Amino acid sequence: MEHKALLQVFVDALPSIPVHRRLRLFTTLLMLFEDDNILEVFLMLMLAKVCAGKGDGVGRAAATVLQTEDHEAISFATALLGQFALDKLVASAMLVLDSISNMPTSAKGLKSCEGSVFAAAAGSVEQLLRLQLCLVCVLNATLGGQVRT
Amino acid sequence: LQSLLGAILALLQAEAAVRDKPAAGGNVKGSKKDAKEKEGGVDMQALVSCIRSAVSPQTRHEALNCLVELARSKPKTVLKHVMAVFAFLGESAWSHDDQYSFHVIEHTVKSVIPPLLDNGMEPKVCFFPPLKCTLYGGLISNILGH
Repeated sequence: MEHKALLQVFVDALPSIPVHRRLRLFTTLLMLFEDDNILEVFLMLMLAKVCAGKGDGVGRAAATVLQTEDHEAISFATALLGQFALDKLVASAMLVLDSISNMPTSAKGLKSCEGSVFAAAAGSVEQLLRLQLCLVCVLNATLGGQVRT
Repeated sequence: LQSLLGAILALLQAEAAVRDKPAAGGNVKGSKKDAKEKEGGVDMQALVSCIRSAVSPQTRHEALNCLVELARSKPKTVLKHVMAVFAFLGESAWSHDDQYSFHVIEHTVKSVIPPLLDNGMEPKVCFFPPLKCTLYGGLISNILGH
């Protein structure tokens, strides 16, 4: 059994968890895993779920206009990442950027995403674009948007 | 049901206390055999459905405490049901959002996951499925060396 499968259960339960309990619960959960890539896996799973099924057929430009739900997910992800040490954040950011650069840019490559951590958002190129944008927003807000002490 | 779960919890804690005591005289073979016989002692399926369907938060808390104890003593048994266990988070766990309920859920997460990680959860996550690797792996003999 993979960590991905376990994290997916928690990600699926996220909308049911009261907003004021989410940060503490997920911080506790993610700190239990010692893997270097756990933050990346969680980010991918969570944001892929948010981006799933959105923006199909609206074109590339419209697909990259974020909605309220996307902004909420980005804010939560940023707050969550803020709970971790800078070295872990930087390592996770590198992994996320690497994954973004490996994502397919055309419909032909979508099949190769089946079974990946962002498979939920691999229904169309627009969904993937939206996911990439959300991920970059999280990284930007986490690493560049605040002074860390 | 709550009393029954309380009794099961007490038995599991007593078993854990006996197990943690250093063996005097060392009848190791006998104790291993005993542990194997007791493996089927708690019906995990019943415990999981109790966690998921309990209307009373107290009953759910008792069931979760039993689960925590089981995860310590028989992590492999819990591992088989871990998905069903944590699915309760999205179903009924938050019907009573109070500090104590949250504490029990957090305690369950903190206690159940580490033994599971130590007992066979596969940490590696493949971002791209093996399909690509198989594809390129199959082609390698046809690609010129340089």
